[in-house]
Amino acid sequence: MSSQHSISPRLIGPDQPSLDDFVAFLRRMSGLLIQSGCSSNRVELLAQLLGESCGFEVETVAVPTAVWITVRHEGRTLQDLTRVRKWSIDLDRLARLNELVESIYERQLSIADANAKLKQEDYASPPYGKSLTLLAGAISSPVLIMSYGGSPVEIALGAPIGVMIQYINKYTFGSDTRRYLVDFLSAVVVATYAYGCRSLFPNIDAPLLIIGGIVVVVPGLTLVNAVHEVAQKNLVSGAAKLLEALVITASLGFGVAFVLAIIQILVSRGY
Amino acid sequence: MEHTGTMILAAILGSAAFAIAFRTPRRYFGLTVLIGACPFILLKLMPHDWNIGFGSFLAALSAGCLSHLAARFTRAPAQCFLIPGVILLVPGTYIYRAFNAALGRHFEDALTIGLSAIAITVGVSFGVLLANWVVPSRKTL
Repeated sequence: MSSQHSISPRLIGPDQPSLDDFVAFLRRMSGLLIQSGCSSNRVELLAQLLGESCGFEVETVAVPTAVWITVRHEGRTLQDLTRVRKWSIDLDRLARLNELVESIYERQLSIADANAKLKQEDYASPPYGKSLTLLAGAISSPVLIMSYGGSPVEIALGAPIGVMIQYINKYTFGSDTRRYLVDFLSAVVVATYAYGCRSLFPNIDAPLLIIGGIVVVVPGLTLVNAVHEVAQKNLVSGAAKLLEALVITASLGFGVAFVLAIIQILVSRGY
Repeated sequence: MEHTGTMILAAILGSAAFAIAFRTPRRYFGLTVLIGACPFILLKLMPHDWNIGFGSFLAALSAGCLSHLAARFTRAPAQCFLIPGVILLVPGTYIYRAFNAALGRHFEDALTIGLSAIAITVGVSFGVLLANWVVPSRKTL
């Protein structure tokens, strides 16, 4: 991100942004970075380097759900907190934020202008449309099933699973506070579909279909990021991400177990 | 997946699918897909008797190094190239299988598969970490 290690000369004098403007910018920028999937340690480093560039002393603590910011300048201290309630990986936004910070470093953009641009981020449209995103889902699950050694029938049956998972995760209520329900619901839908398919095609491996569908939402990347954070001594952030990975895995597992329990009941009653 | 052509096709398609899912910027799409496919192909070409954690470490190291090189070349964040490549390495299947085994009270299986998941996770994480030192990033992101 703009946080190049070779920092351009400090902004001082009339060009220096006001403390309030800078804190407002930093709060919005940090929140957007965490929302877009940026790691906590990078957000903290970026805030510090931005502060140095603009002539402020900055200290930041970033965790997956919040960012605390303290900025000091000439005996005055401002503290702020931004709460992060939703997060996902949005590499397009990350690249745009990167360019924005580059522009600040190269003195092509003032903090006030950058603040105005950040406000427009809420209205930015995604780089790929809904149909292309669903098509990506239709490709990802069959590819995973193929890599696990699935038969041509299983690979073909994987495509609808990928579409369903993408739809549930991106276009239902994945952005609000019921996101753990999304994981449970994804698992229920995938398991129901897989065992439904097995009633039509008795030779297919239903657990393989479930895994091929669910792996897309299993928090493997969250787990890797958590270990990455812990390895960099960002213990709070790493522990929070580990817990998140555990809760998502549990939600997925209970979703599949829920469907299996219902199937067992139906089978035991002769259906 | 023994056929090399099929494996390469799967790696490219999988990488492209995840690049779209993670909203990779359109202008970096081609490069991201190429870089994303490399670690998966590397992992599949490794001898089967190699430790799975070590194999994942090498694949993640290659993904990290290529991503940092691409970031230097394009001035984009390295994460744009790294995440679609690393996602194909993460042990999602192992995590799910371990949890499923535990739910089915097959605790020995759950422990064995869970330990493999931990080995892969640690291997991938340290591969990415080491790549930061091998090809130092010009940027913070």
